[in-house]
Amino acid sequence: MFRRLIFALLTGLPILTISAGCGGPELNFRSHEKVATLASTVAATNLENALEEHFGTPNNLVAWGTLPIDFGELRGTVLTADGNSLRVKLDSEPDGLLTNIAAVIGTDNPSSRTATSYTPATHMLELVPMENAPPIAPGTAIRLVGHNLQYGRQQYMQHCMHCHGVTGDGKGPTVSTGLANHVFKPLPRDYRRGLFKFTSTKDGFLASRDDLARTIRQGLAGTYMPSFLLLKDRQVDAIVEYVRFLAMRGQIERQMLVHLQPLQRDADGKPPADLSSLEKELAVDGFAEAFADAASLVAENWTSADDPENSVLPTSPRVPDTAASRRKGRDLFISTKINCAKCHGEGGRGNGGFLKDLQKNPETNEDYPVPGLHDDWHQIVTPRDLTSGIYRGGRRPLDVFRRVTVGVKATPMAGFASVPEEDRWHIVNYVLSIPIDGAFFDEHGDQYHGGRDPHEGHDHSKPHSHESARSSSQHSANTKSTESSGSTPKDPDTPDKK
Amino acid sequence: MNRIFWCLFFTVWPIIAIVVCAITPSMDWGFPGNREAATPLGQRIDDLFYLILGIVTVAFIGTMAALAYVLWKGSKNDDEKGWFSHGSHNLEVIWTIVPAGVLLFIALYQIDVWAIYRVRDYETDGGPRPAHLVAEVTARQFEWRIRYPAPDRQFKSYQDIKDWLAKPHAGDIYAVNKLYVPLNRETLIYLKSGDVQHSFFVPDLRVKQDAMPGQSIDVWFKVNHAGKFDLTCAELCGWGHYKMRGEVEAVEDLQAKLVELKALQDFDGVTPQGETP
Repeated sequence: MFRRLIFALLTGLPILTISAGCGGPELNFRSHEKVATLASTVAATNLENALEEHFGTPNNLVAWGTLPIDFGELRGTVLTADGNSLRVKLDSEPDGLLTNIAAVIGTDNPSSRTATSYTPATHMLELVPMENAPPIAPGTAIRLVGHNLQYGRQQYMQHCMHCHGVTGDGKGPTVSTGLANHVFKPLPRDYRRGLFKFTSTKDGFLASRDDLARTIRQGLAGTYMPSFLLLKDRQVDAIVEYVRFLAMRGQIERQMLVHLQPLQRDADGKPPADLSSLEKELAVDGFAEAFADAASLVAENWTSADDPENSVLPTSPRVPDTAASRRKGRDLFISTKINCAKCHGEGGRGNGGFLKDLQKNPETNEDYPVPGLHDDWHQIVTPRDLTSGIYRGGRRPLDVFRRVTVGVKATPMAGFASVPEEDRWHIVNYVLSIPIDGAFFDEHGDQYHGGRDPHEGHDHSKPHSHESARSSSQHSANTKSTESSGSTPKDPDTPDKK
Repeated sequence: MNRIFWCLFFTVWPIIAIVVCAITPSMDWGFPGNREAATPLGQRIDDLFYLILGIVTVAFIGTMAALAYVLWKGSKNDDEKGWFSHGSHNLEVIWTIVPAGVLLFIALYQIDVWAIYRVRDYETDGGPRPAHLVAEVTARQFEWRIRYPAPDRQFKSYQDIKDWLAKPHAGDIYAVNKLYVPLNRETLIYLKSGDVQHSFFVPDLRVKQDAMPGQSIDVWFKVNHAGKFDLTCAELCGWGHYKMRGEVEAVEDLQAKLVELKALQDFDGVTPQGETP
């Protein structure tokens, strides 16, 4: 009896684990939520089919030439052809077996075929049989396209999919198991809008390849995006291409949903009155053109993001990090024009008074139910606590300069490109000094050292340490120049209260 | 038939033990990378390990061989009748005293290694030698965040270290997942945790220390082999435990390396890297 019970447990457990979700992830790109609410099934089917035709499925990716993606291309020539089995010589061999990739045969009038596999050891390429396929002569040029994207997919599945999801919608298994609300703040990026927060590009431009690679290598300090520093360049580059691929897919889908918006059901779930005529116009006749337009727009945007012209670079070097410069930075920080303190707080703790206000949802034009800042994904975001010394977008002066200049994309953190460059450097100097010397200045114009603020019962008559006494004397020399320039120090009497 | 089986059964184990010991080095079943530890203390830890392995091997093979001998001898003797022993006081004393002596020897012999690992580098003021400080390593889900003091910063007393650990300082250098340590010089790092319990484990250096939330734990070692060593987390710290891949690299001139890292960190997009604006 007892033995039988143990036997049942032993056989039952593995079955239970397998059926309880230890299988692999779903192997399809998930459609946007709004596809399901379209009143027209024709529109939904057309959209899903078009996306599958141009992007494929995770296991059967499509390399669509319109997109500015480095799909990976191997060139070579056909040595011998035996039906659908070709022996080819490639200029450079891939690391391992390739499966399911595109083969472009010939140069003048190329024919595209799908290859089931290419084996580097034997140089054999197996094509999928095709009716009326033109015969392939030895010596024909051949290109194998897509291995880089496939490698990116494989690496993505291994390192990224857990949080960012198969579709790149930021809803990977780790997030959907209920950890999301407790652990993931912010949520893993949903790529489908093509928006990335920390970029080197100007306002209105997407992220460059270098930006994505930097985020993968360095991680985002203070978030659950860890660093993948030890991945090889080839791995990182392939992941970057795959992330861009997922982003482009999501963006085109989104663009098409905007195009198909008249076909959406209204709030009560009712289809639009003139459904059939709208359907014919938008989802049948005008569909292909709209899809091509969306793709070319997305392609153009991603190409321009990599243009060095669109990268934010200062023209003058960093202003020397003196007490006077920090002082000017502080004045700008609390000035009415720039007013960093509105959100970051007078003390830089990320607790500005603006956070207590209700903000409008730009899509519905109604107030969000809770006060606070919201990003473009409608998630609450908190302004950075500048005393923490954690800089998600990087701590180099250049990184902070870029944050001040273009802000953090897709969040209420705006850029101040119109502010003179020198002033932006003053802000950078001040911001970088906050974790070390504190956000406040005393009535002599000296920064409170050790991060103390005036509310902690600080005694001005006594220096708190040897080091601080030394730097205070340095600062007082600098302060004179500040005073002569006419800016009067503002004593932060009651910071963070408006 | 049954007799032969049991005789063979007990004979085969000491033989397998000898074979496994003999082929271990060539099969890479030994220490990580199958090489000697990259720290002098690690080499002593290995020596202790081999000492214990030796004692255990001799004891195991000896016991099994004696057992096999007795079985073989008895299996051929059909004439004599077995006799039942009610114990031997002398024998019992011997097999109590001999293992006790061995254990006592191990206990005393290893004290020195443990003392060097955890205690001896302390100075009289209760802290480790300040001049050896290299970095602060903060383990967090799922990466190693590293902070080095400014290259020109001097640590003269334990108090200096405590001051530095307490808050960020001007000129600190920040890095992630890659720790540079000096070659052939004592290295002192402070281990922290940003969230849950982690463990700083560099198998090649034989260094393993848990990182506890709320504590700064000093870890010291001296790397005497140049090279790069895997750094892993040895405490299951969450679903992404396996992502905590890091690297420790021992370099000839740590100071020069830090100056280089500092130049990268101070990059303002205009001034050529390496010059201060």
